[in-house]
Amino acid sequence: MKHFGSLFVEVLIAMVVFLVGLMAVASVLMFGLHSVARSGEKLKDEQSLVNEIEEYMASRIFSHTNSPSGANATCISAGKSFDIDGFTVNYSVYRYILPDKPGSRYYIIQREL
Amino acid sequence: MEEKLSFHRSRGVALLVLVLAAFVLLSVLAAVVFGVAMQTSKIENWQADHNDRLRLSYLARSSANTVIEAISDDLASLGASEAHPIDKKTSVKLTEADAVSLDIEITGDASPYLLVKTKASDGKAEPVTVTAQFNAVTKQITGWGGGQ
Repeated sequence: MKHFGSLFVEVLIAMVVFLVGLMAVASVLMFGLHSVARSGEKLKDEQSLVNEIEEYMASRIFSHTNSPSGANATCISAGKSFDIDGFTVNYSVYRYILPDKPGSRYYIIQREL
Repeated sequence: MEEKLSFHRSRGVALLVLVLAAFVLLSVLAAVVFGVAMQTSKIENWQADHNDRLRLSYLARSSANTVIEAISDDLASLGASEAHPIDKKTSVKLTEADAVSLDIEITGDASPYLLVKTKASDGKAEPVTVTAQFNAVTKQITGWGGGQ
């Protein structure tokens, strides 16, 4: 018994299966590339946050007057103190954080009078 | 007749080649994607470790500077002199800052130097120790050590 066109149908099915697989791999690849690109952007944001802290630290050491400022800096605790064998130090705690990346958070403590 | 028979035996070879080629292509693409994902994951892990250390480093450095500012404004309260060198220590738990612990130590005789040493630890990352040398006469920090 002869089946005319059976090879054509087989090839067609194989091509459909192949294309579905190819599209799945392509979408994974695109997702991966997009993630890598987004990761690069986040890395830049994080580096600028670190630069912000470094600038604050450098200027604070010299001036003793400035405080953390900018959208990423928040005072999370004020009016605190610790005692070093009778020598009292008053301080506040500040947090630097990237809003869309909570893992990138840094803290500094600053002396208060 | 022979040619016809040969052709008859080779039926399906085109499909087989196509399927194998597709398989090889998909395997190569999957390997590339997997490689990129692994590299990204490795970088992310390194960055997470680096961030933990950097977080501790900022707390250690800023706490050393905080102590030095306090000393600078009120050196007399510290009670350090050439005749009476000091060695004062304390531990502070910063619950609001991821429960980081700070170990602070002031040593020296203020003639003219004092050494402020701070260690920040969170129980996860390797602790970060910072030392700052303070000149009690000029009231300036003359050296930093440690850090990341």
